[in-house]
Amino acid sequence: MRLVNLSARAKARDAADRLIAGFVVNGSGNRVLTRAVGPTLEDYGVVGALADPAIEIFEGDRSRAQGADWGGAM
Amino acid sequence: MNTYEIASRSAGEGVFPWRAASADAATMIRPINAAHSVHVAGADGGAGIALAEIYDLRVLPALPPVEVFDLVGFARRPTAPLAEMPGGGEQGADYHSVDGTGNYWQIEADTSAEPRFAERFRTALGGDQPLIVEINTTIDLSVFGVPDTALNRSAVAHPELIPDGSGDDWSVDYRV
Repeated sequence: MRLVNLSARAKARDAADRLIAGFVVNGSGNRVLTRAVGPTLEDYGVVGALADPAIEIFEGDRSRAQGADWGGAM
Repeated sequence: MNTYEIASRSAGEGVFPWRAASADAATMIRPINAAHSVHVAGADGGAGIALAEIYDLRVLPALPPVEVFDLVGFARRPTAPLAEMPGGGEQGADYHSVDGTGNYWQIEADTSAEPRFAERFRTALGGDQPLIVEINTTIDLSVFGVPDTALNRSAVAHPELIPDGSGDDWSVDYRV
């Protein structure tokens, strides 16, 4: 068995009131895709979705990556 | 940010579908043997409900191979005003569909001589090419395949097609 996806839904605000989901990997070399879904939730009837989410990945207390508007237009 | 890979992976089976070109956020990393955390906040300080997601890319559909033949052919095309592109180039590692590594090209041209250069370049690549063209300035064009930002490493899909920089006036700079 392999875990494919982990999701957590909550209300997020500013840097002091973030939504935080933790994960631990065993080994290295495999990549993960992390997403912060806000506006799309409105399509599923969620009221009060975060209009402009920003995502940041930490390894311990060290910031590893950041992302904002993913700009999926191709 | 590798928008091509994020879009492709996000369109795979089992992935929560999201809006195209939305303000949703995403990034990819290659985690090491340690504890990690995903932090989500309002980019502008706004508040609201958000979904934080983590996907193991090993089980999402692999990306289609990056095809750079058209790009190379276009760069070699000896017709004015594209002939103003300088010459040279290096080979890189091959494309790796599992790791998602790919090519990262930058082509510089004097667009003052051809204001529609960027548009012509997009047309030449074709809409079905798994490539992303970004215009950085009026004189720089960057053509991205699937760079591996986590490793800050790039690869080239078909290194045998890349000019070796000798005997011609063309340039495709390969970045590592």
